[in-house]
Amino acid sequence: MILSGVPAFSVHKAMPPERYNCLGRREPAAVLQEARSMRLGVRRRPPVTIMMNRFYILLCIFCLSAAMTVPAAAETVAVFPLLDLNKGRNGVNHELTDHIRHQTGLRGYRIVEPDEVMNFMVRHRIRILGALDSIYVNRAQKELEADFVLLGTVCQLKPEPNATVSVSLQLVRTSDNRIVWTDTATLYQSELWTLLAINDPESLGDLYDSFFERLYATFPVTPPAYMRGKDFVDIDRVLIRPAIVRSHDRIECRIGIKSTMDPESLPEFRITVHGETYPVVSDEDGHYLAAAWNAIEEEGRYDIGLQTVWADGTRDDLRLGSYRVDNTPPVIVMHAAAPVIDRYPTFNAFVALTFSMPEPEQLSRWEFHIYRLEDEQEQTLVVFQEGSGQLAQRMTWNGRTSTGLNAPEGDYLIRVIVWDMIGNPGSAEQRVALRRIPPQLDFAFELEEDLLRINVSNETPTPMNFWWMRIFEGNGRVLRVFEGEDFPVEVSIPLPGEGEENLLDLLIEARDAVGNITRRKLQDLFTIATQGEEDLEETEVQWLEDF
Amino acid sequence: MFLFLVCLTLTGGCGGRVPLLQELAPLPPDAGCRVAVLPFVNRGDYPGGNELLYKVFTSELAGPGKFHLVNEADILKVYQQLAIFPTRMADENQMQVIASRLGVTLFIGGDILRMTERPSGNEVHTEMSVVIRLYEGKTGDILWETYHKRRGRDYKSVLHFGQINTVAGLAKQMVREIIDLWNKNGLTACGE
Repeated sequence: MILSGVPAFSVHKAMPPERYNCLGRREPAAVLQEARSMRLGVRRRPPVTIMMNRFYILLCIFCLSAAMTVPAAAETVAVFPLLDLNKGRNGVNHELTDHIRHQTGLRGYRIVEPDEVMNFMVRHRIRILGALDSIYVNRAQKELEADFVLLGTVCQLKPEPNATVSVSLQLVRTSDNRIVWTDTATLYQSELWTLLAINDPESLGDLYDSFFERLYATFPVTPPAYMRGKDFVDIDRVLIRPAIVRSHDRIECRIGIKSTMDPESLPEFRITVHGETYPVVSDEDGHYLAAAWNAIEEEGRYDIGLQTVWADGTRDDLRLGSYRVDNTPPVIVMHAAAPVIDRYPTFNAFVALTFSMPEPEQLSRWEFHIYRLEDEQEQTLVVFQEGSGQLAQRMTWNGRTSTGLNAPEGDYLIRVIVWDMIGNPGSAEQRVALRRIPPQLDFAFELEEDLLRINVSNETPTPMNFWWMRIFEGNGRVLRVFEGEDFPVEVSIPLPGEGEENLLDLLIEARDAVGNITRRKLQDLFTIATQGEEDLEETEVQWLEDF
Repeated sequence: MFLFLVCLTLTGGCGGRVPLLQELAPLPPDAGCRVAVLPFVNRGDYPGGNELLYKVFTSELAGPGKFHLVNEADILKVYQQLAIFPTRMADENQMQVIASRLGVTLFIGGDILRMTERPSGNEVHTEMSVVIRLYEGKTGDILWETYHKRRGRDYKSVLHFGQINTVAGLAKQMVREIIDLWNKNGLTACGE
């Protein structure tokens, strides 16, 4: 029992190499010392009775048998709280952690006190469960005097009905960060059912005995051989600022180092980048190793390496990350989704703007300007908007200014400027035309003997999309229908004969290429034709045709 | 004879399917020396399924005398430094950095396509389909791709016996089958 209390760590440090047996197991000094003192005790014993002789012999046999049955030196295990996936990424299961401690203890291991483990986690700000950085595994050896750490995860845990328990465990040797044993066991309630339903489990608690028997079935009762691990340097943090630069810009790299070695015996570090080596110095606070250099001329991505030069001259190279030299402004292409009239996209209410980048890259910010072109010289800013990050792939201008008013009809220049991560600007421009005025229809009537000629023309410059015209009799019957795509146009309708209904009405709808619509209704065409256009009656109604 | 066939059918179950392995490139000779299992991508709807599969996978892979695995927490720390979400797969460039930092010779990563657990009376219907890939450590190039799909009842023998009622149990069984297939095709731990 005394042997199991020997701190494993001190044994590791005190024992010379020849104290390892052929199986790689440690032969604890205390065992040898005990045996030696026992032998000495036998030699120096005073004259005693036969009973005393028998007592010593029995005592020796007992001690030897105890030394053979108890693990050579009860190894110390630090059981860390189990991660409980049922409770999320940060869930913890203290109940099963206690079970694991107990079960591990039953197998001859000395368990580090839970409070010590918790203090260790708080001291090192260990926030994740179920896994432990190599550097902390190593520190568990030094600070908790643990030969092993036991990490676990509760994969599934469900109470009745259909009780389920599933746990994954990892036994990690602290001396060399090696997983020496791991297993995942799962037990479902029905797996323990018997044909006669005798002592069948009814709840989660009933599963535990069988479950732990299964989980620990291959758990090493004999401690795995001690292996001295190599000292190592762990990169805790890497900061490369800025990660994207222009040629000759200054780049700084800061590296947070954690090591299993004493600070004085740390190796020498150097930064290697594009074939050159830069010295690394400790920063003002002493938290980081820092190096700085100027970016080279050529554009491209360059790896940043850390070279570790050990005392014996050997070198290790590893990659920290990379930086990019970017002198090329971003290329952006803008397209206005509107019909092109007189060389420019033209719209009446909304214009959709789409943006694309032939070589996509990350943007830091963007600006959006819309200018009204009063004439060739004068531009008035009517819309300004800006944002950070990527520009949306599609934006819509609703024909309003930044103050919310409808922008007047005219020509506009839309300009978008984007900046990449290093600040190289790129821009695109698109001239558009805003046309709000609907077709202005002009009617001319000409009476002949038996015909009424109607000439319709459009006074606005915007080309037409289509028009249609219907002539109704007074009783509502459609007399004629005309359709076309452009103005001017002349149509003829026969005049009614004697005694016939002579009341004719006209309906016309004209839509230009950008969507402006004019609808007009003229009543009693004969009167209008004879008395003049002053009697034109215009009616703006929601026509039945719209439905 | 008839009785024998009936018994064979009952005890054989329906687990005839095997994982499908596609070898896109040969394994490098030192592939099994230091293996890093990257966090899996969960495309199924079982919450925490990727972490569950990760634990099961690592425990099966790093069993006694098997592969030398890179510490999970060390991988997650480099993920953090490279600003990779643990729910995303690292790209080739990021894998090269991880390999350089942790001495990785082989990466294992993949996607959970489906993971379900649906209670039905005293049974639980479980199903899982995964795609697991092997990547070369130095380059991040994909080497092998394995697709595997199973249901818990595929392992049912007679009555309720054999059926796997938990996703963890199903994951363990499937991972064993995948690793066995890999072993048969030449992926072994260093020194074996």
